[in-house]
Amino acid sequence: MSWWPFSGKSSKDKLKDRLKVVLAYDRAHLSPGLVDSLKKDLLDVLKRYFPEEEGLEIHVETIDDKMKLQADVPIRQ
Amino acid sequence: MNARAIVVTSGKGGVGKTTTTANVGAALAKLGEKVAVIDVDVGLRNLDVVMGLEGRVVYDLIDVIEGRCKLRQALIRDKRLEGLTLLPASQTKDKEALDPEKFRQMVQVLLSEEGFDRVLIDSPAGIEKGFQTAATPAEGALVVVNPEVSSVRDADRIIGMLEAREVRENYLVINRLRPKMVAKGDMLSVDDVVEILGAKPIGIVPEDEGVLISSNKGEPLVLSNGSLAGKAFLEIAQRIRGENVPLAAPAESQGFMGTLRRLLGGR
Repeated sequence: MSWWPFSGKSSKDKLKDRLKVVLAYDRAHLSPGLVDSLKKDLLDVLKRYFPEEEGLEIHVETIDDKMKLQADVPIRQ
Repeated sequence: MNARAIVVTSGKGGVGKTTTTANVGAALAKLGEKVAVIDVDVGLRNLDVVMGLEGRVVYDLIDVIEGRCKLRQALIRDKRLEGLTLLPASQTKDKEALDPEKFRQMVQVLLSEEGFDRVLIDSPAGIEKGFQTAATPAEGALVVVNPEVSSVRDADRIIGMLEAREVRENYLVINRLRPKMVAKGDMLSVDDVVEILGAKPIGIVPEDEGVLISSNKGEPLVLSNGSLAGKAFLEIAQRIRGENVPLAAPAESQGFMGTLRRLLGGR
């Protein structure tokens, strides 16, 4: 975080976030574009099965050097 | 470091591999070791000029490997520093000319028969054959990294490749650190680089005009006292030898604004 509350993140914090993501992709031998289109396809399929649901989400998480593709699929009772 | 054959590498070019090789080599010699520094950037020879030994090159690494001269004939002893020896790269051949297995054997001969305590191998940039050959005899590595986006990314790649080659004793040399920019939050800190790369640092070298001046003159920094970078290179050599020298980021003169920033609790 930057020292000044209104200026958002410092440039080095932005770089740190970017590097963590890019290195996770590098280490997993994955291209970000590929993961992106996988996310889109998965979302399309999920929407077909759960047309009424809102808040369907797929995101990539990186923990240390491990990558996780996570889907949030809220299902109404 | 237990490693006696150490490759100095980085992936990215221009981050300070040759400067690090020259200065850490000179510092190790100053501390009493018998050191050979080898330029493996075949076709782009530079370690000789950085060290100020270009006028004494007769034979080179490829001449040794291809049997045109004896190993000893190609070794250039630095007269300013007892124990420091350069084996220059060829300027005319290309990287294909260097056979990895013959190179490995030659490094073994330097360590076991010629009485060298340590061999520092200045790797070419890149991740292709030149780097692979340079890493072949290595038991450990100094990975030179600048605190900026492309250098950090390339260092990560190189560390992965070293581990795949079973070169295990790998340390980061964080070069060209600008303490003022770090204090402002505009440059990765040592801790950031270490966290991102997951490798241990062995030295922190601040950006220092003295580095360019010393290479202009062809005099390793550690020969002249006083510069911050020279001190940092000397400390790297001490740590390589197993001396317990605490690792501290270069002093940051933050001034009033820096103190204010800290008080505001941002960093």
